Amino acid sequence: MELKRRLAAALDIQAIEDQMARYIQAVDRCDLELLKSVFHADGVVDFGVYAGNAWEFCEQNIPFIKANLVMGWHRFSTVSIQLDGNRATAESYMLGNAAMQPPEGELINCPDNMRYLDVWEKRDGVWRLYSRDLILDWNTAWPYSGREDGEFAQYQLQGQRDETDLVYQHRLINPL
Amino acid sequence: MQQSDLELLEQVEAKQALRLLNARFARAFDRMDRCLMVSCWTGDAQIDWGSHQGDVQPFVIASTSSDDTLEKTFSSLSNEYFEVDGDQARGEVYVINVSTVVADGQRTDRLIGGRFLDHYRREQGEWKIARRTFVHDWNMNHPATASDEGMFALFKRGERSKDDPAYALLGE
Repeated sequence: MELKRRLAAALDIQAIEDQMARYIQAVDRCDLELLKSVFHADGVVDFGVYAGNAWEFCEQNIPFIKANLVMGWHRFSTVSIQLDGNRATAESYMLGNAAMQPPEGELINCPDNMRYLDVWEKRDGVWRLYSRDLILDWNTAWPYSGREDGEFAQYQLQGQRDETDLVYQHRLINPL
Repeated sequence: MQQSDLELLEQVEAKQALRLLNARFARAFDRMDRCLMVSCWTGDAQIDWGSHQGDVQPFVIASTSSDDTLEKTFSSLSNEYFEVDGDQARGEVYVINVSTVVADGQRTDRLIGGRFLDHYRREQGEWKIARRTFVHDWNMNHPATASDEGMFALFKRGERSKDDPAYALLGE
């Protein structure tokens, strides 16, 4: 039984990390269905800019970032997960990079370092977020310095913030 | 369909092995370690990465050949998502490559954010990259402003060779 319990814990941690990856896939591809699938229907978020039901947040946030960011990209790392039966608490670090056009002035890059503070719940065998808070640690704004000329002309495969991104063709967007 | 404990364990083991494979790829790339780089790929591996299209061998050689225009390079991987199916797997991996590029006497810090879309295959128990596609998401270019003074003079330095401190710890 002890072995069974240890195996289950390893699987639970992997399952939560897979869901953390799907969350970022959803935000970076602006995929509402995938994003909602990472939360339970009664889930909640407190992102400062929005606090309340998670699915309502998803429905508001995806069109918002699509309209207001020229580019959005997030990486997560430094994951710590504390399992407690069918519940888990987790902290993960996020480094974001976005490009946006201020109402006045030039295009900017706005990198930020944030953390997610989560409560995950396993219901009917599937781990989804019950609660996610977003904590801002550091951010900045730099003049946009992306280039398409010179050596950058070789990169013909450009990431897309919709279902035309190659990740879909590779069948790597799989909501649970 | 209920999976057996062994099948479930093998899924986790495969995902861990694929993460290790990608970490070894990053080390091979950043340290220009050709032997390690060769070991990451299947014999028939294909690549689609900027100007490199088709067989991976020219990429393996180019990425592990000294290049005076590239002063340092740091490839940090994250967001690794895998779908494993027996001896085959697919994956998406986020990468930020940070480099100092020297051109026309100017040093530029260049950051490239993108993703690898991969096919992997297990051969004789070892996971290898069978096909890697690089998707470019963004880049940034700033004049280099790195300091070599104060505490920065004291740090151990990364090297694009086996002189890097990692080899003393991990061996070759």
